[in-house]
Amino acid sequence: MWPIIKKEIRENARYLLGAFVIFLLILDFGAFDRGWVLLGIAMLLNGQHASWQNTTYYVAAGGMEGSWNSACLLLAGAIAWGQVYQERRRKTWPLLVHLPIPRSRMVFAKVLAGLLMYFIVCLPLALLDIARLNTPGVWPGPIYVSMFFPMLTYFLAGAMFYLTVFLSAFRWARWYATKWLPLMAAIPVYIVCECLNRPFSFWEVSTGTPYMSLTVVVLTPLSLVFVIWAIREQARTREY
Amino acid sequence: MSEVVIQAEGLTRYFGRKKAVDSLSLSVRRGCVYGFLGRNGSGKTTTIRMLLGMLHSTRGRSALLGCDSESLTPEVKARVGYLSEGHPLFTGMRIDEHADFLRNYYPTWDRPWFDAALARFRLDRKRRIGTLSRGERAQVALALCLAPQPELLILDDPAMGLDPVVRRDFLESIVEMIQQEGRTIFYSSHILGDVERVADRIGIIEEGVLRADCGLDTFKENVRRVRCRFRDGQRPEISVPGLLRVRWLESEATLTLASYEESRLDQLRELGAEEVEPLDAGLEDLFIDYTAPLSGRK
Repeated sequence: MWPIIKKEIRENARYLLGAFVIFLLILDFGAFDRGWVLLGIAMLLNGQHASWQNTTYYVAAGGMEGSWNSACLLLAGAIAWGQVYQERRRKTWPLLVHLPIPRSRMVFAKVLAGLLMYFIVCLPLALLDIARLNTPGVWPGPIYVSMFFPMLTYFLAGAMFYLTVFLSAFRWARWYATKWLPLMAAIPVYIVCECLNRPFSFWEVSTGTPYMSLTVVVLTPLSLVFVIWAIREQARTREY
Repeated sequence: MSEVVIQAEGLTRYFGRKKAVDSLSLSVRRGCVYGFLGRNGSGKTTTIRMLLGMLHSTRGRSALLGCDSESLTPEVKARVGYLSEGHPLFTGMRIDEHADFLRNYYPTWDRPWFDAALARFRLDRKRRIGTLSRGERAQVALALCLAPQPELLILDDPAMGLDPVVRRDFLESIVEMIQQEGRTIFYSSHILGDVERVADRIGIIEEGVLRADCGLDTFKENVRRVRCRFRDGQRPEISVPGLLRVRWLESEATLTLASYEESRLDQLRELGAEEVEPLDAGLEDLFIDYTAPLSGRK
């Protein structure tokens, strides 16, 4: 598996670097009180970043979940689609399929590589955000572990979104509408994210919401299992 | 009798309503260089992809090295070299990176042989594949395909898209490299001249149907051109068994006949031909007549 993972990372390294910069700008855009991106860049270049700390938002503190979530979605989707599309464009699927390994292993090596690339871009940014938040004198209040949950949940939901986009791009379908059907499997995961990020009262029995949240909590692993099974089946039976 | 390494029985494939391959049956024995000929879109690539298990057959079955094509094991795949149409390679890699990538999967990878092949092609291993010319890329693809020393080699129109000079050089490389004892080669092409130099058996596929499957010499003996001269102003309806094509020039007809026998000449004389003369036609011409669209035939 490792040679395929290495190949994927090597081939996509420059795109990952680009994605990292764009991701950084998106977060910076959010961090500057949703101000102008160009202003943000200019100030970054002038080293004035620190002077804006008072109005800076942090993903970890829940101030810019939207930006983080969108960036995770975009990145995960772009990686998955790009991995499938570039083999199709270069007509190199037959080369990979003819490698003397089971097809499912070849495809899962690509999937693992894609997830790894997603983590490579996201993880340093998340750690950077956490580090900034933890810098003494920056956050005007106590810091709880629960403050990092939104970041973590959307990060993991992005990984699930990656799997569904990969499956959609990978499988043959006659119609676009049916081709992108696997994306539906990512929906329960986002509902779970919303539920997890609600106040604790949301989970209390008296409110009546736990039944709904528990349903989606059950649906999430089911969706995950379904998507992984579907990728394996597609790898085994798809035509190249 | 030598072992059969490629076997297809009634292989059929539809794309929607279009029948791309129709009840194709063939067998290729070990050590044979099989030229698989057909015009563009005749079903060559579809057949090869079914043999390799990349496409499912609608009907029929096939096997490579005794293993069903639909479930080729990694062990069998390691013994089969496949050069697909257009020489697709990972363009972002350098030649040596590409070789290192493939070497991980082939225990029989012959590094000295690969290095020698690159030296023969005068290719720098540090060059990025995306910067290679089409001919150079074909050479790299061939070297990568042969480096694991496969016992069965499947080449899907390997000279396609190359200019005549590069194609000739590329074919010479193939001839040189494939002369290993016991290696079986399945070589598809739409250019008979290419196959003629390497093949000892040919199959001709037309509109998905395998119309000929015989030795190269047998094909040359059985498909012949005959010139018939009739009396001035006469153009009789010519109907003889195996007639593929008739070309008229005033009262002179040039016929292409399949299943040629001496008795055909007598049949033509009975139709009123004053002169009947078998011609020595090139294989390329015979192949074109043999695979001409049905509407172009008599």
